[in-house]
Amino acid sequence: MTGQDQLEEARLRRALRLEADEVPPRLDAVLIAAAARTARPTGSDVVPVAAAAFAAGWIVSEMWRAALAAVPSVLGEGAFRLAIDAFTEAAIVLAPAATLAASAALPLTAAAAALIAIALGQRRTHA
Amino acid sequence: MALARVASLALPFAEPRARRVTFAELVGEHQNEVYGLALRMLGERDAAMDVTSVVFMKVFRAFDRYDQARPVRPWLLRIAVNECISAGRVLARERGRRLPVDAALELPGREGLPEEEAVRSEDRVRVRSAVAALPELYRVPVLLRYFSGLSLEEIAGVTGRSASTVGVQLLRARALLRGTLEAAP
Repeated sequence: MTGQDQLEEARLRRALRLEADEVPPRLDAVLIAAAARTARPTGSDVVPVAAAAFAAGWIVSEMWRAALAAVPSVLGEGAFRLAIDAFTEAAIVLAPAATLAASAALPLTAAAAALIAIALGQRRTHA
Repeated sequence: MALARVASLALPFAEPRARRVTFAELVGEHQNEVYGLALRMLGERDAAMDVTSVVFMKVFRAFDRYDQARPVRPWLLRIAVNECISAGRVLARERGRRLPVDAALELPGREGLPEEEAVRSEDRVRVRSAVAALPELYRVPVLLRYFSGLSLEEIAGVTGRSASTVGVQLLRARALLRGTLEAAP
């Protein structure tokens, strides 16, 4: 640390310290403790909030249920069946791959790393 | 009656020297530091006093969850810093500007002061103004270092950053302050 830094630090300390005319009146610990106790949320504060949250959650879930039940009639029976069929076909194709990926016995990460290494090696050879 | 019961509570806190203190002692020993930190952060006496009260209320509520084997001061300062940051943002939103820098100065009258004291007072005001204008990221470590006198490691503990990061922030803060103070007339 340079002499200039030390000078700056001393100047900062001097400027920031609390002056005699800035010292606050003494806080009353008893009053603070009492205020902390009264300001703490009580059961009577929490119950209405919890009830309102529960009611809001129930209303939203019911709205979702009604909306999802209305989807076939809104989209039309044919479009809905088409979407379900497409989803089923995709699931049939993807299910084996998902099973393979989830299998702990197959070191897929190691195989992928080996494939990438081979590809990179071939690229360097050609270059 | 209820107040008397509260007063009789001895809330234990571990000090670095493993000294156990009551809540009342804790308030008495640290209120000036918490208030001063808030005053330098916010620049307003009323806001600083409010923050100080809220900090000690939070401390009171959390005493039973606090690990008594650890020193109380960093914990207290962490609460104070977080509270100051929140209060500062509210103040800034209310006023539509970043910080009440002008209020932070609280320019003392020069009349009646000896020349040397007047110069010192003016320098204090300039430095405080420059610190108040620092971005929050730099103002917090500067105040913890030069107002509270914490080491880099202690500031790191309070702010949740590494000591090396705090060191860099202090370097940048000093460079910013130097620029501001040199640019000022």
